[in-house]
Amino acid sequence: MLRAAWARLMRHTGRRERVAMAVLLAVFVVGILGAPLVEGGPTTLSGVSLQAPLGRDHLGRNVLIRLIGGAGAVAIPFAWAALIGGLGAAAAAWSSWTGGVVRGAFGGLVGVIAAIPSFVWVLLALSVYGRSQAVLGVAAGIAFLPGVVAVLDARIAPWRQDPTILAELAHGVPPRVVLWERLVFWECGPALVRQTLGLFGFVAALEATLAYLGFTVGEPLPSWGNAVVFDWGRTDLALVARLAPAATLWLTCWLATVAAGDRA
Amino acid sequence: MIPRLLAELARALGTLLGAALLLLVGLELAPGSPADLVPDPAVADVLSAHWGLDRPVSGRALSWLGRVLTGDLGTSFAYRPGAPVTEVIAGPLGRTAVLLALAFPLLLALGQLPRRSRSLMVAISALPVFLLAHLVVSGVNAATWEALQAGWIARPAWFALPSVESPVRTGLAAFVLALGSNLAGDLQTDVLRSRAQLERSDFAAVARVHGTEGPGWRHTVLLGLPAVLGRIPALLGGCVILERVFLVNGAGWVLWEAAMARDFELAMALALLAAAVIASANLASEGLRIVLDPREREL
Repeated sequence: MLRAAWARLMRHTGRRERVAMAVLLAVFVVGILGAPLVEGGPTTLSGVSLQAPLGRDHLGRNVLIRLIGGAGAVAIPFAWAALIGGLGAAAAAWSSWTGGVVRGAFGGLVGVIAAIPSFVWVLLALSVYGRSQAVLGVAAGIAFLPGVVAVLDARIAPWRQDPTILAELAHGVPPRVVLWERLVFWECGPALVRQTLGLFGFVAALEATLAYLGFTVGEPLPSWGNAVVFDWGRTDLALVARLAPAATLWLTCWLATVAAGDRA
Repeated sequence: MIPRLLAELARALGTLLGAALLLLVGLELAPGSPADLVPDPAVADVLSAHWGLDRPVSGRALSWLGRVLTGDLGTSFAYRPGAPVTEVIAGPLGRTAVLLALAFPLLLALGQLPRRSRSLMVAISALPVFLLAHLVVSGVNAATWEALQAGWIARPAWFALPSVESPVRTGLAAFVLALGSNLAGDLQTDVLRSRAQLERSDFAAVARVHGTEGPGWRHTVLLGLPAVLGRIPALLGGCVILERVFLVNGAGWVLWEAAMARDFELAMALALLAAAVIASANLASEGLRIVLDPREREL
């Protein structure tokens, strides 16, 4: 089934989107596994060498290792956001399938979440519950939910009265199989993958913004937003060292936009 | 048409009430109490009674909602201790309104750019808004400095950004607000998609047979304005970030300071105002669609 799902995902994505997905997956994996594997870690000061292909930052630290550490600062909140997004997506699928009052009530709740700007949600959550990566991830997952719910509802609700689905139910296929396997897994699978990649870009932008403005990760911990603050204007640094953090962040957000299926 | 507009109004009011309740619940679930921040227990007890913290949650919620409905948004206890929230936010709200008023037509115009500019728009507007602002400020400052060094220009009054308050600073902030956070690229995608659907529709074919050339102003407004209004949440979120980067003392700046200082009454009032703006924008968007689109009027 997984092989068939993979084939379906590939059929529904262009070459540009596949490249974007691969790069974002690599950023996530490097963020989770990269920093602990690199000798010394992201706060180590060391001299110039071939080990620092992106140069050194204002404190002489390896920019490449700092970027890998920064990917970690994105990956952990993203894991939390994906968990919350997954739970929200399951609730959305169930409410769209159930319809009636349940769908209306869930839609109302999501409308209330959408009525407050996502950045304000995240800012308030960090202020009230503490400035941790878990809070950032959970708040980002909740703030991202309205878009996911809209995508799922648009795909699942029309199928409720579709003759093929009604025929399957009439032939004794359990409703849970119809909902989770036929509709969520097969019908919404590619869209859910795109939404997940969009969420990665959203979390990356949020984390970097908050770090840039001094609300979350601060020195000496690595963050792409921190690196932009401290290294961009330093004319005594190598050009590649000054540009690399901003370029990494832009590339991640752009790929997430592309992978999320920006199609006109 | 009128019943549909009334239904939309009721939905907007329901959403606003829901947002207020959600904010209250979120605050109630927070660990600790604002009175814990006061070192003297005697003073903490007095303040708890004054803020109503010794009353049950439902009573506090009803009291807060009642006060909000009468225009009393509470008192700031950390950003400007003892000052009424309405007084604290009056001036900053005006500055944010100016920023939004400038960004709004810019966004509408950017959304109408032709299809061939789409890839570039997506690539630029994928930049997080703080990074775009950082690049714009650095670029303008560097270019101005080089021009000054070369003797091409005299020192402008607004140099160096963003330290001096000036129309250039406000204009640049509005431009970045419209272009950043994927807003313009996203909007352009929506408008292009809607326009393609419109051009494929039967009534567009009939109109072309009758000699009508392309979409008129009403179609442009119909496609663009509701889409821009639908992006008000992102615009408001962008205001918080840009007001920090461009040092604009607007509502976003105050919200950031309130969040940093854990001045929850002030932060909640601003979040509720943002929700009111968004609910009004959604209502206006739906209203415009119903009024301008003949297909909607027939429903």
